[in-house]
Amino acid sequence: MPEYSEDAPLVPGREIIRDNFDALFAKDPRILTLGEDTGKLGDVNRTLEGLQEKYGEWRVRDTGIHEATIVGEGIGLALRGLRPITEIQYFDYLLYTLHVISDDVATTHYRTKGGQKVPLIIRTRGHRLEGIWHSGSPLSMVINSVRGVHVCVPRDMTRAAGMYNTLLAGEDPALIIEPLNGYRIREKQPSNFGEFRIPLGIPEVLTEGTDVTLVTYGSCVRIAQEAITQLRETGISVELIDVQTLLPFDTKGIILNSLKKTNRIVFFDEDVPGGATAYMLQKVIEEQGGFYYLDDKPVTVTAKDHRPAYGTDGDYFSNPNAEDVYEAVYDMMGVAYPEKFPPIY
Amino acid sequence: MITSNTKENIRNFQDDTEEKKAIQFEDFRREVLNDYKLAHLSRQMSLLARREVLSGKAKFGIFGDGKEIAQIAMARQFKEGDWRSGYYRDQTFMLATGMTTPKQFFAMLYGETRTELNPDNGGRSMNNHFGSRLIDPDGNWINQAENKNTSSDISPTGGQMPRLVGLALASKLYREQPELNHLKSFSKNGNEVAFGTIGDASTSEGLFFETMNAAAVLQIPMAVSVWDDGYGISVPVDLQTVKASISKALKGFEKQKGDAGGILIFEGFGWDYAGLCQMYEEGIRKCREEHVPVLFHVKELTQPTGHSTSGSHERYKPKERLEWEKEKDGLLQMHKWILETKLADEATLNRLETEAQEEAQAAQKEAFREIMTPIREEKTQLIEMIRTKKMRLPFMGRRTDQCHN
Repeated sequence: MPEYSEDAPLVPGREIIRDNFDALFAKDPRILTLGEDTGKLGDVNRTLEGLQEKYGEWRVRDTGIHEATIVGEGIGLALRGLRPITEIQYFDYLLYTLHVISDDVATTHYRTKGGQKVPLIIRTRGHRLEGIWHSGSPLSMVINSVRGVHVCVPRDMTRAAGMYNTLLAGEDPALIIEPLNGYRIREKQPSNFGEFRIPLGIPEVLTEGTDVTLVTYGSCVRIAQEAITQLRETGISVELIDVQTLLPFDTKGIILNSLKKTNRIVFFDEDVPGGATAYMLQKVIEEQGGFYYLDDKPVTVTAKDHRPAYGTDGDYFSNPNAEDVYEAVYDMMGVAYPEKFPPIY
Repeated sequence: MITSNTKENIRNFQDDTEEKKAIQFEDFRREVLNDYKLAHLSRQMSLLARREVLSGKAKFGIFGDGKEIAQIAMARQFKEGDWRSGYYRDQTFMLATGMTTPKQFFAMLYGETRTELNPDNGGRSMNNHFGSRLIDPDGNWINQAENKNTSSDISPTGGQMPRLVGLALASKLYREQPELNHLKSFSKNGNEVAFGTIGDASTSEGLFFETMNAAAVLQIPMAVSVWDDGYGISVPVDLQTVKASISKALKGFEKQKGDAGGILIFEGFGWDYAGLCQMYEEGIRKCREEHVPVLFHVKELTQPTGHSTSGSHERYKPKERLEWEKEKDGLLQMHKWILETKLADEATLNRLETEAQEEAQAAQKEAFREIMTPIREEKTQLIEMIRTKKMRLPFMGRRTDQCHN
């Protein structure tokens, strides 16, 4: 886990990612990264600032705009004993290489019956920006086409760094989607860069509560935190869980344990209706057996059945907000305690 | 562009003594006849395997008939440490490099699940989907530098291209980065060539152009062979490729004197054994030494049994084309060339053809016996259990001996 010195400063998230990569690159010459604006600029978000100067043009390399080839380079390098981290500049561009990840990366170990492996990390960033192509998070599109690849959805840069450390300790292929709006948000600076590991498939209970279990991931965690602060003022106690990784998903039944306590559950993200929230619902309600502990129907809070609009009003109505989460949880409590929580409208 | 089209002898025997020249000639002659037999072995495997599918003993078949000669010529340049990223027409190349055997070919056709019999995919993929076992049962890498390596094939054609760039790029890194010198089981100074194969029609995929451009920029040892048999299933090349020629279409990619980037382009003919051997020798040497990407456009190939067992090419190829394919069949042309150059007589070639046929049949029989043996054993056991009334039928919750009541 991340360790902190007593006087650990608060630093922008991008610096945490950068300093963690610096530690990893210094430790293992097999590690390299490549992508659009990765080299000289050090990534458009400056998470690799100065690393090309330090480690050279082959280890921190600029590529052309060709996502399928970027991932292909990663596959070949990984097959030949290196540890590539390939950059897809934004989550939206993942579509241009999804076929390569789905057909090739995700199936290599399976299609050879354990004869080959691809220790490749695909790095990208997304969630909550603006507009049709730079907002939203079509996670269901990804998780439903890349079974065989870990899909990590860290809520902040400390978590992201810990996931890189975990993945580089293993040899499975993985996709990490960093929360795009987290690079400038300050986080406490860990002291053990390159060392601390965030385990895969283990959700984290961020806030304990007794009335409703709220399950989410990535940038939506901050929105959920905003909502539950307001709900607490209304007298509703929410247990907030960050799933951390969608593939694998809650291998220890942590969400089920929460549901056993609260008997009510909301799944929240900014994918389409029936997207990754439906996936989480199936996992918890059907697979983990959550059905038997429900006092009320399970609820999903999602974006709408279209891509998010760019205009401010359109963006507000397209993407789920703290108000939507508040209402979903409040309404659920209203079913159980109509007098205490009468309808808002 | 370098066009290789020769009927001349493929070797210059420059040793000084007549005796040495004679020994060299004998070695060369033996190699050629081995190649001839191998080409026939591969063809017989295709024909036999097609029959196995059409008679219901295997589910599906897709083969490399018509591409034998070019693949044998390419395989001559494939060394330990090298890599292949190709597609489902490459059985002859796999045989010629020793990366597969006729029996494994048939085991794959039958969907054999035991990896000791079907090491390439253990029944997870269709036939002719190859893949070296690169890791041991504990998941550790085996020594790649001392082995010949093939990455695992996928069916969507064009899909072999992105990973090919990475395989070639690794050689560049191993040569340029001294801090990787200790990884000796992966590379010897970056001397490894990544051999790619792709059907001519699949070069229309965006992935092909994207990866050729990237390789030309990166200057990596990537050697791409385009097997051009004039069709993508039923769609002819003039509807697929501008100027009906991928080597003409890529003219602008070609590396000229003084250029920092670019690719070398070679053209050869699928029936021209001697010319193809020369073409690959020259092209791969440059690729390996200079880390320059190379495109080999192998034209006038044929496809005697059609695209796959799912269809018949008589439906879409005109009669004249079918006739032309018979005439230009690489095996027939090699036969003629051997007789013309007096490397062997008709009787010798006939004997090699018979041996090839017998080897293919023996491999097929043995692979079929191996896949059927456990099935037959289980059947015998099942019948015995039913006969001796020892089997419990789970859906009834009763023993079979109670079922009669």
